[in-house]
Amino acid sequence: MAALAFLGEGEDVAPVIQEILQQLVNGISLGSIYALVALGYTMVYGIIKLINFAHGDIYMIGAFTGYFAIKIFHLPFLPALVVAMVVAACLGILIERLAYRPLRNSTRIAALITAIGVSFLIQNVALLIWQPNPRAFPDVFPFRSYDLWGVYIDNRQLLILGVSVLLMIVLHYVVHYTNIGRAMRAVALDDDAARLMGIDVDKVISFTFAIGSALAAAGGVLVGVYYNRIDPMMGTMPGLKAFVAAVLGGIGIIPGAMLGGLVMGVAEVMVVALTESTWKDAVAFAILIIILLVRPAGIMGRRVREKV
Amino acid sequence: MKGGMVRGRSLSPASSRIAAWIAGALAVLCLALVNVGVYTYRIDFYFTGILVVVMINIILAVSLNLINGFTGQFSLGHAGFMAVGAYASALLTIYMEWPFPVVLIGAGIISALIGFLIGLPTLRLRGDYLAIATLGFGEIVRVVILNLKITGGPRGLGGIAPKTTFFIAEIVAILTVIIFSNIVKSSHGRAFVAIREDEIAAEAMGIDTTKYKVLAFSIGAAFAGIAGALFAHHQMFIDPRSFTFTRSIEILVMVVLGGLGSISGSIVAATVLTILPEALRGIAQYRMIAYALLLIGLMLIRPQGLFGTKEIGDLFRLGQRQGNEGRRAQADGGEGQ
Amino acid sequence: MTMLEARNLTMQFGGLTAVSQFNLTLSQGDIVGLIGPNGAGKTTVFNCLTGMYVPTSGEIHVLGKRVDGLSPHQITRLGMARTFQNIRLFKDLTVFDNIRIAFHYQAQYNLASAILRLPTFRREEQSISEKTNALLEIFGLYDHRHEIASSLPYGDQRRLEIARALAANPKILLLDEPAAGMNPYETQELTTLIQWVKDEFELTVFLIEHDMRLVMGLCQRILVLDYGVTIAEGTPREIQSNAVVVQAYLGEEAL
Repeated sequence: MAALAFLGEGEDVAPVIQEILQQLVNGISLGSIYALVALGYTMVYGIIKLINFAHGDIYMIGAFTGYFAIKIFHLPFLPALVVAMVVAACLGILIERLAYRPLRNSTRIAALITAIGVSFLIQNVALLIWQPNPRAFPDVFPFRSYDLWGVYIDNRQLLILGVSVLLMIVLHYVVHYTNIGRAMRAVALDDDAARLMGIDVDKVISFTFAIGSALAAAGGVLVGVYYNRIDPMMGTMPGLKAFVAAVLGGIGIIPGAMLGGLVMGVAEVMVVALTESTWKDAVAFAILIIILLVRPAGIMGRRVREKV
Repeated sequence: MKGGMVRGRSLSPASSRIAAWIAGALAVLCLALVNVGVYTYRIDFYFTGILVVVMINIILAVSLNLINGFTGQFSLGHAGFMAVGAYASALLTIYMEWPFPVVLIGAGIISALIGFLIGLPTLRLRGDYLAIATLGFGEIVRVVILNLKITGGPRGLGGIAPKTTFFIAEIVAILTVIIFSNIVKSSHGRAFVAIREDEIAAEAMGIDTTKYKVLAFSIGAAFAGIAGALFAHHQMFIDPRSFTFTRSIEILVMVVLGGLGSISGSIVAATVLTILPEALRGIAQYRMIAYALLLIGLMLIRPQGLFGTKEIGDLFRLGQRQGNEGRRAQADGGEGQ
Repeated sequence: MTMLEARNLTMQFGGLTAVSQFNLTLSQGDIVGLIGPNGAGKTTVFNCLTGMYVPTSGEIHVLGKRVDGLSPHQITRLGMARTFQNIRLFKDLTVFDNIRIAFHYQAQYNLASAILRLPTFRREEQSISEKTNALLEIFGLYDHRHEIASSLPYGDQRRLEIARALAANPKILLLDEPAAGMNPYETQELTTLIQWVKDEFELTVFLIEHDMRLVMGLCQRILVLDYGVTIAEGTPREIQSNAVVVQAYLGEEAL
């Protein structure tokens, strides 16, 4: 017990462990959302080596679509989630067609600048139409909290975990056991060779954007449910953090994005618990800079040597 | 001089010099007219303020161009360096009461030091990774300012003496342009460009690529800091919202529009993109949308920007394309544009 | 005098040994060739010697100074320059600027004199331009000096790259397949040029080449690399009649 001497006399160990477990539950819930968004970054980067800057904004569009589906069309949660995912998938395909495809053979920096432009475009159009002030996301699940030996977990956190795990299982199946999934992996390895094998690379890229965007939209709707508020700028920070999560796990590696998302979520919640919450945005970038310097390939990645 | 480092066939030195002279003379004339306007009060107080912002933006764009355009290292953290300079200078003025020129130099040195410390580790990264790391740096600066007491946190820092006159802004901008032009037209400037063109070949030619990348980053940071100092003493009030990622993007748009690797392009783009939104103030809420469309459109249609890597002087060669050298250029397609 | 020496140079990538126990000694004025089938590890040897790779084990000495672990630019500054197998010109810059860049580390003025345009700056720039023009004259590229490097014909690009390496003021020159992609006539010209340049600039030359006429015509000694191992070393005549070499090139059946 010497290690826990800082607790002071007479204090119980149990509350500390309880607190840690509680933060872990909160962190994993938040991290699942980062993981969903990170998957889109990692898949797109794996296939066309582009940081799709607009990904966070697609997540925002997903949240707004879910909001309108529930609020205006009075859809129940699950159909609203599906609608948001479909709309985001279409938007993802559209963005790729119009903005990224014409630049496929230009420099990576040109593509990155375009992606920044697309992100700003979506954000500012949304600001114009929906106004900057936050909206309250409809209360689809009346808040209920369960007490598990002093650690509280609420029904929204369970929902986030359930939906995330389900979507990741579906993704795993699609990537590993379907033709389009095999094609995706082939294009990620070597797009020229894949083309020679008769794979329609354009179709695969479109499909990748569709899946990635749909997952981001799911994340957006879940965040709306979790925090009860959405606004047009909501995508920027989670988008960047999800990107950090993707890099942390090893960009281009799907399980890496999941792991990275969870680590990011837990780290952020812990920082908020230990310091003032204003520091939390800096933590994500500190993690990014450290990981890029120490292990640029990420936790699960392998180093690639540049050919001279 | 020797016609600078230009992508594409360069002019014979004589005609390039004449063209550069004409462009320079036009610039001096414009500036002289503006000065007459300001000092005879034909240009009102409000518009003079905008002209100060033009000068600040020129400094920001030209300094970012050294990093992104000439050296080919993609930084998205320029607003961060601007913030460092702005806060450092404001604190120096408020607490130390140093004379303004000393404050400006101090702000530049502090930003350069931060640039050096950030650049040393991050410049090992390439392309888009560097972009994200510098973006992260900018955000960290913002969060640190938000959390410090001395910076006033989210409430900002007020009561900064209005020391940035049009005259001072103008002088600093002119000095910046001269300094950067002279740097890029030297052996050091060629080292920057060599890194942009092929880092491995540059290294094989004896260029210390790490040193020069960090150097470009530090010089760029220094002048972003000076621009931040001018900004702080112009606005008299600064808060973290002035130095968000959006600000970095605004500077980037100027550099990309003018041409990555063209100082005169950055000057023109910074001027146009500062004055135009003011002229079209009725549609201010569309400004960021217009910037976004401008970025996308440029990349799709003219990724090299208005001027490419050329300077204004080099653009005058259009008229003499049919000369004996020009014919060959057309024959072998050497223009590459 | 020993110009370049490699002792037991070994380079491994993961589990793969690309070069194993490579030894080399070049004396002043030597011109030595490195040949071997594709993938034998020739370019890896070059990359180790020039600091692009840090060898897994072994030592490299340039002009008596140990260089393994140094960066490429430091090795270049010690007096060893190279060309690349896949031509690494600054391809969007002019021919003139390609050469001027290589004079960079010899320019004797600092940033301040460049910014202030001090007399040292003007004098040095003048001298760089003159030296650049002189090199371009030697390589017959003077008339093309304002053209973009990538617009030159292939053979000219190869020669420009050699000229650029010379501008870095080397005592040792490493050429990686200088004749690749050249026709027999151009190769013949290039052979003469390399010989002339070596004598004129008092160079020591180490080159990789597949074109046997160039190698046999130029080199005093030849090393043969196969699967990263030096399988033969000797004069061109010895190499031509070496059974092991013939086997490596043509396979078992040839014997």
